[in-house]
Amino acid sequence: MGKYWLWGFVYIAILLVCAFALTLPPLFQKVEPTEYGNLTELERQGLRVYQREGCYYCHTMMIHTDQTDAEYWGMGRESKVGDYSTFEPSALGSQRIGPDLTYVADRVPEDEDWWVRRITEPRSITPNSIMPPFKHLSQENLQALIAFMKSRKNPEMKELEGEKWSE
Amino acid sequence: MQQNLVKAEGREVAKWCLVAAVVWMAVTMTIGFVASLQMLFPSLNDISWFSFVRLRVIHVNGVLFAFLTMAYLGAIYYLVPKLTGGKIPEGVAKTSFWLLNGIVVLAVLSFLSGRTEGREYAELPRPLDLLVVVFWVMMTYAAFKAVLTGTEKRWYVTLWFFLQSIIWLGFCYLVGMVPLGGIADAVALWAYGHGVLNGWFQTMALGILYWVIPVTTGRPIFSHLLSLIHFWALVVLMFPGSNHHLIQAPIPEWLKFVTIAFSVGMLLPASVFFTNMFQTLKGNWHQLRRYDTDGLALKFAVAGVTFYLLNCIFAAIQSIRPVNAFIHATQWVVGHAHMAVIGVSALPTIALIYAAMRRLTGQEVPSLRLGNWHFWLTIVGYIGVLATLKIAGIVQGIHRAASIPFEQTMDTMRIFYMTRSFFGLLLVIGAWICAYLVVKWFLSKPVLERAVELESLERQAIAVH
Repeated sequence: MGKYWLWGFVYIAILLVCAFALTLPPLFQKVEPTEYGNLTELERQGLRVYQREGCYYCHTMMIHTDQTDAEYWGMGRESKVGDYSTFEPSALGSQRIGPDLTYVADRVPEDEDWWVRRITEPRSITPNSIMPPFKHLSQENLQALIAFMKSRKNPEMKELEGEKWSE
Repeated sequence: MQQNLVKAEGREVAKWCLVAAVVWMAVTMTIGFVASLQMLFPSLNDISWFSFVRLRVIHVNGVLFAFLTMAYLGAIYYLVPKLTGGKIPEGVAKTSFWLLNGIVVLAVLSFLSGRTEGREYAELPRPLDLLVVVFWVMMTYAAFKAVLTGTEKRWYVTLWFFLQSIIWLGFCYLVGMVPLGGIADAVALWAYGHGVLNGWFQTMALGILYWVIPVTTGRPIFSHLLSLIHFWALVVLMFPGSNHHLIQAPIPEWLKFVTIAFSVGMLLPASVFFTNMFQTLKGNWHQLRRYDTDGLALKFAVAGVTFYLLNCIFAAIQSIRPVNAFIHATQWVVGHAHMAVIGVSALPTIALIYAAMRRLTGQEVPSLRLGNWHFWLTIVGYIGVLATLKIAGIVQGIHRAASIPFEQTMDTMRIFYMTRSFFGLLLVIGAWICAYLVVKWFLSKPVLERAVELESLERQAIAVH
């Protein structure tokens, strides 16, 4: 038995070194939120609904940093660390069964009613959608989710428009 | 002394674990199949309790924690006392078995009603997380009790892998449980999310392969030293590679570099493992044609080794940046998840279940014919599912590169979802055949003399020289 204890210590040392060297530094990095990442209380509640209802299983909320999204699909500004500063938990998502939602508010109508229908009966707006209907959401949660969705706008887009306007 | 072996603590509860694992396997795979149908027929989502998002969580967590973890628990209680010569405290072992089953049932209810933490692989609500910790403490206590009371002077490689997996699971689970804000949350989550796959679901399966292949072929492994090199290389490389899920996310560049380097570096332990395994199988390939229970287990194990090879090569390639940019967030990733969990973890686990049930009951598999059906349905279904999803991922990547609108890509995916459901059905049928066989096996009367004989036969194959 004797020498196996030594190996046990070696093993635990490797584990701790890995954990401390490679996970902890980013955890203590404080990053100021960008305009995109600055959520109001209602929006933050909406994010929690978004996360809890599992929206992120089919939708990402992240523009690739390797520019494939921005270049080929013209999805706009790539995601920044500060975009997620106030997100808890981070809602990056891992697959796109449905479209990316990072800047969803830029491409859809503004009105509340459209959003309610899109979430509670998706096929009344997009006939071939395979999204589950989220009819069970309470009025409060639905409002929070919609507020969160409506705030998902590309901050750079506004700057561009502003420039255009000033011209 | 050998009569004691058969009555040894741990064997009875190991048998329970294996049966429960197989039943959960069939159930959770069926749920996955239903979820795949929901992507074809969206009206199946109308009841919120059974909508896609809820079933998906149950499928993913169920396969990982109800099927694989349950089977691994059985493997630990069966093999650790055998390899150390120690004793498992039976009360703790039985309690941990019931506790894990209780956690699974509560988790299913909580997911169905939409109570989740909303973090992938870490969806369990907080009270259940704490129960998992209690379960882990019990399992660790039982396993290490056997190690401490053990008489065996030299540890076989399976034991190394099992003990490291047990420690790793606890360590990783704690990392994953802590909710953090911002991008740090994603870093910690994937450190857990991939760490647990690497350090629990993969290493346990490797330990199982190191046991199943020698005992079913009757030949010891090619080199015990190589297997230990494999072990230590894996331990060093495993954790830092976990963040390759975030190569497209805004994490620090140096972290991306580290994770890519370590992910590609995983080819090193993998190649050591294959050298060892294929050298062991050299001159033994004819045994794959054997028509008996061990031959069946061997077939599953060799399929596991082969797909592990494929999986390691894919994993290294897809961590490289340009490839990752192409396939990230496409169906390729789903394909890789299925490829890894079925190929690397489930196939060796099923091999263990067949080989261990034979030694635990002293009986042969109730029907070899059905066993072979299980094997071929699993292999065809598996290759079908992963090929479909990988091709779907490539198509999605090409669509992106060609700037085709995403809405059009979604319509194109329908044919792939259909094919996937078809092959998924084959997998599910195979799983129910397996469940039928193992439950029947479990209910049959054990032949103790034969069990003793089988145990003494395998001694030679797993001796450490």
